Amino acid sequence: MRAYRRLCGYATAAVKQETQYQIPTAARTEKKNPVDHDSQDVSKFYTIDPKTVSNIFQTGGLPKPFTEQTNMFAETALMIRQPALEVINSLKSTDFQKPAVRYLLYGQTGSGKSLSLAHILHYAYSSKFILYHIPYVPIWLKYDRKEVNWSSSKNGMADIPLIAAQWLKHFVHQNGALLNELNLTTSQDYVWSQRETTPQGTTLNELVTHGINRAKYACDCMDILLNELKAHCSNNRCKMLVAIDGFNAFFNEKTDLKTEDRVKVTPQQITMVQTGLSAVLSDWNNGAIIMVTSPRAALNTKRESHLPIYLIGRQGFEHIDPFIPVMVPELSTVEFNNMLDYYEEKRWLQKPGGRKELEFLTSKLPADLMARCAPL
Amino acid sequence: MALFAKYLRIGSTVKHGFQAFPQLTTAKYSVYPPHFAEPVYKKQELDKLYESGEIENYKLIPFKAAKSNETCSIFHDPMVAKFINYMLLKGQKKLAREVLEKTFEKIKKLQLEKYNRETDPEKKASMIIDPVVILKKAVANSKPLLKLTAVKRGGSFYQVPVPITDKESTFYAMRWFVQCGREKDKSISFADFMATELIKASNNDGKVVNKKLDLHKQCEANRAYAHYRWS
Repeated sequence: MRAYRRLCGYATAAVKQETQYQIPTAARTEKKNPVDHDSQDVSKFYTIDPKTVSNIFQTGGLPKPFTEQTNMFAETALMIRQPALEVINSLKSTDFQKPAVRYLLYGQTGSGKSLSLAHILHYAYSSKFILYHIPYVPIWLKYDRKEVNWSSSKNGMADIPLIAAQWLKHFVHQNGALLNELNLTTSQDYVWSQRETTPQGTTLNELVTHGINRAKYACDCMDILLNELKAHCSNNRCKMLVAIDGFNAFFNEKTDLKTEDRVKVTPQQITMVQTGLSAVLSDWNNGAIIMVTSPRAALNTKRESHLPIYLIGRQGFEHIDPFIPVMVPELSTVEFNNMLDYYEEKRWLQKPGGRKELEFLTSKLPADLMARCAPL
Repeated sequence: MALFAKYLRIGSTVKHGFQAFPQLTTAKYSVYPPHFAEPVYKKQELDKLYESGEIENYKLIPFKAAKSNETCSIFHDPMVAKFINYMLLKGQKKLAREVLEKTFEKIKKLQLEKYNRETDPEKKASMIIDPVVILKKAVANSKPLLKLTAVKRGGSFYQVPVPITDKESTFYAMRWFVQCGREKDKSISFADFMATELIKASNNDGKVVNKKLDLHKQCEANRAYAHYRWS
């Protein structure tokens, strides 16, 4: 009875909470350009201005929960972390006359791989790389009800025309301005059909626009675009960053997709996947390749380990060998505290004082932390 | 061993497929004789007892075991735990808890939107974002002062206004929230509806507060029967 009275008391004497507690502010850096970031900025936040965010990530690239959060906080702030910084530093000091270097980001689910990639993409965007960015491979291969056709140009391969057109839009959105500036042109004639040809000397922008308008040829357009870009890079006309999130989905055993005659297709049979795999080959220079493997991109029967050899298998390993593995670990103590400071500053975390409990519950994984803090 | 099994009910029934193996549940409270005291499971409250020296009074009293949902976690709140219990259907506590957590998230979203839009710093500082505080305020605002009971006089029943205990009025308020949540339109989710309703009630507005006012009005209309309570 006494306990119940205590409980009712809680309801009656609501709201009178003391406001003595000083709300902390997160550590931030003023350097908005990722080119300037160095080891002193580790674990601090930096804000990306909304215009850049819409330029790079409007059509994909940031995880959905994070995007919702940025809408709520009315700013896009990324934490500068060691793995992204490591890649950026080595991109700065790379000799671009050598074949493109491959980096592989890997780590547990929710450890911040995609956001590390976002940081790297921001760097590449601001230092004028052309971004050949695949936001998340499983959205190509998962969820049936997509239009899948047999390819007309490559025998035994399947196209996903609408998705490819969507991706081309994404590419133009990210790189349209830069492509206009560089004025890159096609090196040979491309014959799509009897009536449609793209003559030598058309700009790449027009090539992509053709792919978007004629979705039937979007998959071939992707492939041609990649080859053209590779050639231009090797001729020192431009720099390119290939970034593929959910890379291990290329090596899954199956997809959800079926063609119209109800034949199941494997990932290796899809032209877009083959394009993605050829983007990863380092037979070109003046650029870099960044891949992200994540257990979530794998089939749900194959998520026990987050290590790349388990996720991409021997075949995939041989395909991308040699590469530089970059582990994205869970948050360090400083980063963890700064993250919570940020949440408290933004009034997202309303209950201070439970940090040890949160640390124990989330094992310092940032995505888990975000989800845990949601109802608090 | 039989006694043990009787006191600590071993839950061998599989409920909705959530429990894979038999699990030890806490003792039913009815097994305790009346002289057993309620447990103090919050560390802060226990510290307070030690500080004030009140702990001496409790030293020789037997205590009930704490329930399985009563923890000393800083994020635990007895009021919220009670609300979850009222929401619960068919023993699916996990589901109920998740729904309430979603509600809290939604409340924070709505309040933060307002907070970020506000330009006046004074108003900004006074704005409540903490969902638990909003829940408590909403419940406090919708607690009725009187209730109606049926009393048989001369062959017919009369709705007689009678005073209400604090415990019961808390129950009424919380139950009204859950009822409104169940009666809502199907196009909106329970969590979304509850979030807006709680925010409204914390500002003395909304369906539940109207329910309270309706009850008060009816009590006012039936004041002529008030003496039936005694005679």
